[in-house]
Parts: sequence; C-alpha cells; structure tokens
Amino acid sequence: MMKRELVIIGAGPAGLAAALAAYDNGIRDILIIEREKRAGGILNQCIHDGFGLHKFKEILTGPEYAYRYLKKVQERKIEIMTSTIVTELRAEKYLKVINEEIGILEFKADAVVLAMGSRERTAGGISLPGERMAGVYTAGLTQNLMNLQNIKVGNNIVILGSGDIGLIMARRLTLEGANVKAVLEIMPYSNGLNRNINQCLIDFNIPLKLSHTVIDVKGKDRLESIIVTEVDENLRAIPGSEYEIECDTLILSVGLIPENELSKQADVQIDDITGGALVKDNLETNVPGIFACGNVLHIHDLVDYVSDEAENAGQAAAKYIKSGHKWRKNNIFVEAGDGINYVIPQLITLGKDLEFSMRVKKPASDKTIKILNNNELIAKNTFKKVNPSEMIKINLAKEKLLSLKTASIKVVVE
Amino acid sequence: MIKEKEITCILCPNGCDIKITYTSQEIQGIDGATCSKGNDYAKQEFENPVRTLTSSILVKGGDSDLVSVKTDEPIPLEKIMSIMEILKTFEVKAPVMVGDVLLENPADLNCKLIATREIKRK
Repeated sequence: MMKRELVIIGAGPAGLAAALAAYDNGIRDILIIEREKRAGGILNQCIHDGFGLHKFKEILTGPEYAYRYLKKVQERKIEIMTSTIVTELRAEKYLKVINEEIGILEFKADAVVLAMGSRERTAGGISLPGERMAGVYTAGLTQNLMNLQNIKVGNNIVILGSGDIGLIMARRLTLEGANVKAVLEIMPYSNGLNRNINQCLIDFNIPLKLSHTVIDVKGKDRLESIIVTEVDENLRAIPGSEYEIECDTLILSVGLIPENELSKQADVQIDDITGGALVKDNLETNVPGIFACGNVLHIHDLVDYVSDEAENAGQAAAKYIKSGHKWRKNNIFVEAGDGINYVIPQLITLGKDLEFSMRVKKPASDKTIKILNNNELIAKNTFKKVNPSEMIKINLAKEKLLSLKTASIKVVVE
Repeated sequence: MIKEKEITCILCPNGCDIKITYTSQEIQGIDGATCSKGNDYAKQEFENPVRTLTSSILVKGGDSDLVSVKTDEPIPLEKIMSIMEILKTFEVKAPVMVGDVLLENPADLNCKLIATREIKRK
C-alpha cells in the first residue's frame, strides 16, 4: 500500500483546480485519479463556447478551458493517473484503484478530495413510459458520441427537457444536418439559461414547448414516434391534448445526479436535496480529511464556479494535511427556508468571511434573499431576476455573525 | 413611430434582457445591460447578428478522430450553415495544437478556423 498526502478523485475541472490550489498552498505529494483516457472531464465534449468569462475574462470553449488548467497542472508536475478507476474508498482514506495496465493498487492518503462529477438521469430515472427500443439517448451521451466519437445518433429528433445540455445539443444536431423538431419541457419555464434558449433554439427556429411531456414512445426495433401531451399546473396530463410526433430519436436532458457511490462507501453523509455531501464552510464532509467540490457536491451551471469551489477545497485539504484536524467550536447550521431549494455549505463556523451557493425553487423577478437568525434579519441581497437554473452566490462578512441568538441561520427568498 | 425590441444578451450566463427602442431610421435607446459589452452586443444583434461557430472536424492519424474547432471571430449568423458545409469534408492531420489555424477565410468570410483541442499523433 502506497502512502500519499493528497489523493483527488477525478481530473475534471474540479479535480484539476483543487490540485492546483493544494500545490500552491504547499502540498507536493498529490495524485489525481481519472477513469477516462484524458484529463478534462465533461469539458472535453463541451466543444461550444461560453466558459471562462468569470475566471479568465475571455470566452473559451470547454476543451480550451480544460487545457488552461491541465497545462498548469503539468507545469507543476502533478501526477495524473488516467484510465484508472477507484473501486473502493473508506473513511480512513484508504483507496483501492484499478489501472488499465498496472492492475490493482492501494493507497492510504492523508486527505482526499472528492471531484467525481455527476452522471445523467436516464429514461428509467424519469420512468419514461413505453418500450425500450433503440433511439432513446441522454443528451450528454449524444454529445459524447457526436463530439468525441464522430457517431451520428439520428435524423429526426425530439428533445425532452430544456436543461442547458439539451439546448446545446439541439443546436449541435441542427448544425450537423439533423432535423430537431421540438424541445419539450414539462415545467412552465425552461431549466436552461436564457442565452442558450436564444442562441440554440431561436437562432434555428426550433420550437420550445413548455408544459409538455412525453407519455409514450412507439416503434419496434427503433423509435418511430412519440406521443406528447400538455400538462396542467400540477404537471398532470391534460386529457385530449395528446398528439403524435414522428421521430427516430428522443434525447433526454432531464437532469444530472452527483455521483456519490464512493462517498457513501466512506460514510460521507449525503444531502437529500443536492444529492451531494453535507459540507462545512471549508468544504470538508462529516469524515475528517475528506473534502468535496464541483458537481459531485451539487450541480453547477457555470464551470467557473466549479473552479472557484474546487480551489477552496484544495486549499482546505492542504491546510488539513499541514495542521491536522481541529475540533470545531461554534458550529452554526444553515437551513434552506421558504423559496430556497438548498444552500451550500450546510454547516458554518464563526470568525471567517463566508460565501453561500444556493438555488431558488422557482423563477421570479424583483426578489430579496434574506439571511435570518431567530427570525431577525442579518443580511440581504436583492435580485432583478431569480431562476432555478442559475446558481446564486451570496457573501457574508464575519462581522454579521457576531451576535447570533441561536445556533442556526436560515436563508429565505421574499 | 418608436418601436421596441427585446434582446437577450448571450455574451455571458447573466443573460441580460436588453430593450432596444428604435424608429425606422435609427436606434433611439438601449436599456437593461449590466455591462458596456451588452450595449455593443444589443446594437450588433439588432443590426447584424453574429455568432462564434464551434464544431469539430476530422483529423487523420491522431489519438482521436475529431478535433474541436471555433471561428476566431464571430461570423454572420446567416453564414453559419455555409461554413458547416465546408467543414463536412474538411480534414486535417495530427498533431494539432490548441490555437493552430486550420483554415483561413472559410466561405470567403473574414475569420480563421482554429483548433480548440490538442490532438497527438497516434
């Protein structure tokens, strides 16, 4: 068994940024484990642009954004072990991994950063009715097949779900000559960013049908058509509104799920709402020395924010390695109140400036996000627009938490 | 008569809603952008919408069959399909570095096609 100071699971944007931050905070013995052949994670298949405006003040494509981080990691000679999968992680920071060429390896780390990202919700995950013939894909898989493997998925296409990947793929498929007939969304609003609705759908005259969903898929070996219905405000099908759309391909863009199987093995507590770990303000989980960042912690809409978060995790892991675990005093619970879906971190301590990431439950305009303690206002921020698809960040200066009445704060939107 | 047009800025994920007021002769006002780039974008979008095209092209002898590419400048929206037509059959040889110019002035447009991914020789 090999001893390592820091092991990072995943060489996507989170893993790379965490490694850089740990290195720049004095840690030299770092190992990044990546199951794919190349580092970069999901960015490798995100060939569209829109990345990096916040971090680099430039508009980059996904591969370019990944390359900037990868170059820095290589300059620092940080080790990345590719084609390697972690099969076991335990709370004592023991890892068992399998490398394509070497075989099984075991590591004992001082600290671990979880940066495994997320996976897609599938047809089974949304209980899609009908048979399971060929022609039903998830959006990220379609993106991987098209952009990395040069495989065309179909000609006449309907996309279910208006998350960003679905919108991006609507444009991508159109550019490559496919006929995208419609994007269907069960909610009365889109889950994608406005800019993507504009440049991916409106630019190419692709209709976005809100409050619509699929109630049946038809075909024998290959998809031939789908049955679509309108839904009411309770998301129930409106009888009589059904119609058929002929198509050979249905693409699902219906959400991402943090990939936390390893975290659970290591007794990391998972938040029911985010699907990621419960974390303290230093992004440490309930297991001392195990930190989490990026999409494995909660789903992000901007990679720039993933990098920011991962830098904090890398820095905190470095501090842990150098000075060990300190028992924390004065823990304050953070609660998601009215209108807020979740807040990260879920546990904070006094005496340092904090940054919260959160999502609202539904879109609205002219709203105030308030931080309350014992129903008294301690901080607030106003927003012209709030949207579940856009993560909101709020900073809280340590001075604001000096005279708390109870050991919890609550975030609400009013 | 003064008319209005709503434009969603696509420059960054803020996606500002920008309102342009105009007459048949000229733009009267641009309102709603949270940065000056947004004002410029709205004006451009109103007069002649342009987009950066991203796609991928075939690469021979590399560690991947495709290399991702982008135009170094935004190009007129209406010309995007004509570049895609050229890219269908366009092919390069590995190795390719990020930033390599792979094609100049495709479809007689004033732009370059540059690689956004590194492709090593197989």
